[in-house]
Amino acid sequence: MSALAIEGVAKRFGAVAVLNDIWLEVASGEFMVLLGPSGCGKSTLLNIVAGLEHSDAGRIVIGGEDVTTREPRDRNIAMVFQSYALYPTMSVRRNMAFGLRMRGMSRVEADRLVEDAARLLQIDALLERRPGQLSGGQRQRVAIGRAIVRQPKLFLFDEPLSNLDAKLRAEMRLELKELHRRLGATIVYVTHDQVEAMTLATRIAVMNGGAIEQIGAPQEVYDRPASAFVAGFTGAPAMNLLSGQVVGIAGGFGFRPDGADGDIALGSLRLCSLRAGQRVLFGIRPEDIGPSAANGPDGGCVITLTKLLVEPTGADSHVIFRLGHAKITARFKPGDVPLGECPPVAFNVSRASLFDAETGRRL
Amino acid sequence: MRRSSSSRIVLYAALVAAALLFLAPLYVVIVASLKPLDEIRAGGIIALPLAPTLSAWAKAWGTACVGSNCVGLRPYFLNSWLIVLPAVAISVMVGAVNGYALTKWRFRGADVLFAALLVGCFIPFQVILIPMARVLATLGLFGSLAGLVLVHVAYGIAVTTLLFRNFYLGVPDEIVRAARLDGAGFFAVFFHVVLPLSKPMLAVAAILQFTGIWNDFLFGVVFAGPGNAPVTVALNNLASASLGAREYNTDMAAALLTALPTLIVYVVSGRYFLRGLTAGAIKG
Repeated sequence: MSALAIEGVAKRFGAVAVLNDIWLEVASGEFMVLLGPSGCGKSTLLNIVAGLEHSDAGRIVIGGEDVTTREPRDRNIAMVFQSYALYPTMSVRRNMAFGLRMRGMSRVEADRLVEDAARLLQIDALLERRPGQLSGGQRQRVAIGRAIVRQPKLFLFDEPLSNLDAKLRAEMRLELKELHRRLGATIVYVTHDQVEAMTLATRIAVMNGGAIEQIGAPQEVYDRPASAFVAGFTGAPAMNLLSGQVVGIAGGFGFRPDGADGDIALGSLRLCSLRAGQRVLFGIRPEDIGPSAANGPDGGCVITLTKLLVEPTGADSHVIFRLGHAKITARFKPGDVPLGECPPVAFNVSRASLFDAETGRRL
Repeated sequence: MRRSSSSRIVLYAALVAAALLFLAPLYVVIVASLKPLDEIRAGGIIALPLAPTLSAWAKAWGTACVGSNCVGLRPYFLNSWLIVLPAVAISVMVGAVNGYALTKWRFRGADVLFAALLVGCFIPFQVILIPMARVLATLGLFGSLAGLVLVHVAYGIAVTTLLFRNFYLGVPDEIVRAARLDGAGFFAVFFHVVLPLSKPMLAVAAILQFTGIWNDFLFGVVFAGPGNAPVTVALNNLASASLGAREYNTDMAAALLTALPTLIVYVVSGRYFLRGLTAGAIKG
């Protein structure tokens, strides 16, 4: 049985359609990440699951029960907010116990559960403090503690790490993953950070413009993006998307980027629906562009890449080339950064993606 | 600091002069209230009392004639408290609940309702006297303390709602959402989470309402009826209706007695008042 089923949910704010017919199932124990840019509807969807907003159509089913018309408190869920949303006038202990006490649990029993959860999150030394006396990371721990102490069927996280600095964010990410493993909890997690999505999720749902573009395991989403949007949103730096057209070359099809002087052979992409002259987007990840012994089979320049910039990041160097009208980013080992006007660079075409230029869908 | 020392002197001189100007009437009132009547008749309103006495205060409190009723201000003081305490408590609490409902439970028509409430802040008191009298008569509350409390609450809600609405706009919605997910309903969220946050605004609203209602004369004189008049109305009757020679010392003492509660409120809680007025601006 799925822990959560979102069935045909739609939502409009006035004339603007925020969510279009969303279908999503989350299995028990899954860590589902809703990934998308701001304004794609992911937070609205989370609020609808929580019952904080009402959908115009569709059903929300949690643990097999239709909760579409139920109040947030009757859905047996807990939520962690970006701003932590701790109760500022209450101690950490009372913050964490609030949900239990509201549900009629005795003070003694609530205290015991709060202390267990606090130990798990290593905030047991902070129980008597007020939220105002805590650091950002500690506040986020308390917010997570307030969620887990109730042992809900479903956890909702709304960009919980966005207010933390980079180092702390990486630490909390690890802790969340560890917590998920230990509790075996079902989590729906909203973020615009594709690194969080890749590292935390068991499955990712990529959202854009009020619709889900792709649902899949992180590696699958990364390797085989279902649309140009997904391709451009995942990976750092993102996948290069070159517009151009399919051309017939000896032994099959090639791709001619707009403004380029050569073709990229598509031989190793097994696609049967291509035809010469078709407008497509050619997607290739920076790490799939690498150094090569020579350029063409006969050592000639097959396609001109002009090196524009090198961004060293330490482990890798990102090299930005001009290719026709477009710029592409390649990831090299620092020692491999190519030299010259027509550097010997190879495209690992078997890992490339082709998208329809008009619809953006994967071919 | 060196640069500004001469301009500082000018600044302080101006401030002291302004303070003296505003305090001068208060000084005259205090001095006059402590003089025997013959000293006042002798003239010299600036002079300190030669033989200071509290007899005028005692008379104003206990025996001066208010209209034809020579009982002093004491019973009217009680009336004022009986009006002010419930009116302040009710208008502040209702304003807080209104502000909370308007900002945190964005129901359909909330903006229209708020606009309608705002109009209440701008209607001159005189305009509603007759309709209000009719309403009170219909309810059977005309001339009663309860009726006067109702009038003050009805008028006060507009202002307190405005205050609390603007204050609660600065309280993050996510806190309320978290509490709802934690199992709290409308009033549980309000009493456990929102109200404890509101102390600065509760102080501001209570002080504003207290001074406004305590100092009210118009509603008191129109709606209270003779036995229930608040102290402001009694002060007027005491000062204007006495026969024979004017007892300025008693009038002054009565005026000071009447003003004392609001003065004390300001002196004691002025700090909280300022803190509350700026609290919403500083922290989100």
